[in-house]
Amino acid sequence: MSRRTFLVSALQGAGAGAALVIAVPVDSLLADKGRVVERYDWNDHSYLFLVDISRCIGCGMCVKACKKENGVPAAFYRTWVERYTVYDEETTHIESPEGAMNGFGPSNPATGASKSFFVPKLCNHCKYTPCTQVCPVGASYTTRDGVVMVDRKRCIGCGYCVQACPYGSRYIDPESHTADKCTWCYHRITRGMNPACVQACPKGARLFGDRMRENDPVFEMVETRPVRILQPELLTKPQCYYLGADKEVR
Amino acid sequence: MGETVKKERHTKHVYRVLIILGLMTIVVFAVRYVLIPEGWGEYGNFRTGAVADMLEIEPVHGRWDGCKKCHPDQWEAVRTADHATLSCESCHEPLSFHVENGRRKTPMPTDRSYKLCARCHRRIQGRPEGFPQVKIDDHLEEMGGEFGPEVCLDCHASHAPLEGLR
Ligand code: HEC
Ligand code: HEC
Ligand code: HEC
Ligand code: HEC
Repeated sequence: MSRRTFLVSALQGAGAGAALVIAVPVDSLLADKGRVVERYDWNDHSYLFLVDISRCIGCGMCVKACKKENGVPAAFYRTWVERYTVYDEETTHIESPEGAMNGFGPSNPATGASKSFFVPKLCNHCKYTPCTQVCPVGASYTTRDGVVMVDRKRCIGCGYCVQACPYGSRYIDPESHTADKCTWCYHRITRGMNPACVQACPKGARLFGDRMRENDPVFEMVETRPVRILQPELLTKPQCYYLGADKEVR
Repeated sequence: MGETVKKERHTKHVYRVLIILGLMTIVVFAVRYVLIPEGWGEYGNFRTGAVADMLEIEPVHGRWDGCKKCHPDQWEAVRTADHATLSCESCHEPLSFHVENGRRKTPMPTDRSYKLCARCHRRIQGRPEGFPQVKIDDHLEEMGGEFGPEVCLDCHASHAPLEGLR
């Protein structure tokens, strides 16, 4: 074979190889991985969450539902509800008895408050999240549809991510000794259901949306209403938006 | 004669280097094999199987209308009254507790306690003003109720709380 014919055929081969790579669909999630999950394609979704503070009545049904849905161990919470009581510009009292798992009892904070409201909290599923960046073994990751999750089989329980999260959304499971957190009920949303907390909310204070769904009402609200995110100065780009949040909420 | 000896010595060196390089390659691949799990890095810095693990978890709570098929009357009663926005599972238990493979597995418990109603309707600080809420003592006194653990159901039907007040 002359050098010339060799080079020509090598170039042709490379071209054919490139065409093959382009033609193969790279992202049909897991379908070709032997672990059959053909019902769901994460390229068709981009999730977001909206909390409407003015609607929250502080019943804590969301916390109860989350606990049951995900088997969250006692004294840990993937979502919780805080009551803010603002007395004046300097003094704000925040409480969350048992994460509001049983709601708020009859005892009220001291009188003289200028305003008081409930704030549901959960993982913000940040786009630029510090928790996955610090993981030394790649157990924390973000899915294509925008959910931050933990690989329990890989996590070594070092707790860096728990410390890195500015929103306090993570904990170390006392039984498995691995990090755990809100998954937006990934096992439910990938079946076309709402997260358990969203379904349990009797006032629609928690809403779950998908940017890639046509005329998604939640995405539309985020686009057209005055929403804000928590601690924007950290530049983590939370995917959880708050409507009607007071300046005190952080 | 002296020349061939020299040559042999050199080939020995080459063989040694090749063997060491070969061993090192094997060690590198062995360590990689042990440390890097299956499915690593296909979609990012994580194990693809981790996502599959999450997808395989079975939901505990049912769909929003998961009770409708088997309890159409109760469904209709709740959805057309004041508690239309409540999930059935808030006052009962999650669907998977009650139903398995489309058949009733366990009797469905019902929370009848006044504490359940109080979670949502007791007048406490922070609750939005427009939401119907009562000071329980005052409410019972006003309506003439006798306090007990299931007192609210004496008058209110929980599926449609303002209909057929007793
Ligand atoms: C506010 C709480 C509450 C909600 C929400 C609720 N239930 Fe009930 N449900 C009760 C209570 C309390 C009883 C027991 C009634 C009694 O014994 O008088 C009951 C009884 C029942 C019964 C037994 C038969 C009967 O009518 O007494 C069925 C079936 C039932 N509920 C289904 C549903 C379904 C389906 C939904 C959702 C559409 C639902 N419930 C929502 C509180 C609730
Ligand atoms: C696959 C059908 C099916 C579904 C779905 C279903 N149930 Fe039932 N349920 C039954 C049957 C059967 C009974 C027993 C016969 C009866 O009382 O009608 C029953 C009874 C009940 C009772 C009375 C207590 C008992 O178990 O005898 C309640 C309360 C109840 N269901 C609530 C619910 C709620 C709330 C849901 C939704 C989360 C639900 N059910 C979903 C079939 C179903
Ligand atoms: C998960 C929270 C929740 C629970 C538990 C609950 N309710 Fe309600 N209730 C609501 C909501 C939401 C409304 C609709 C009112 C609104 O949004 O303005 C409502 C409406 C009512 C109303 C009508 C009020 C009005 O003026 O329109 C009555 C009465 C009532 N509930 C009584 C009860 C009783 C009695 C119980 C206990 C069996 C109970 N509720 C349990 C959330 C709840
Ligand atoms: C003795 C009967 C009786 C009992 C017991 C009772 N209620 Fe009522 N409740 C009523 C009546 C009657 C009304 C309707 C009042 C009206 O329309 O002005 C009412 C109205 C309400 C309302 C709506 C108030 C509003 O501002 O719109 C709520 C909420 C409520 N009840 C909750 C409860 C709760 C929670 C309990 C249990 C602690 C309870 N009720 C026990 C008779 C009763």
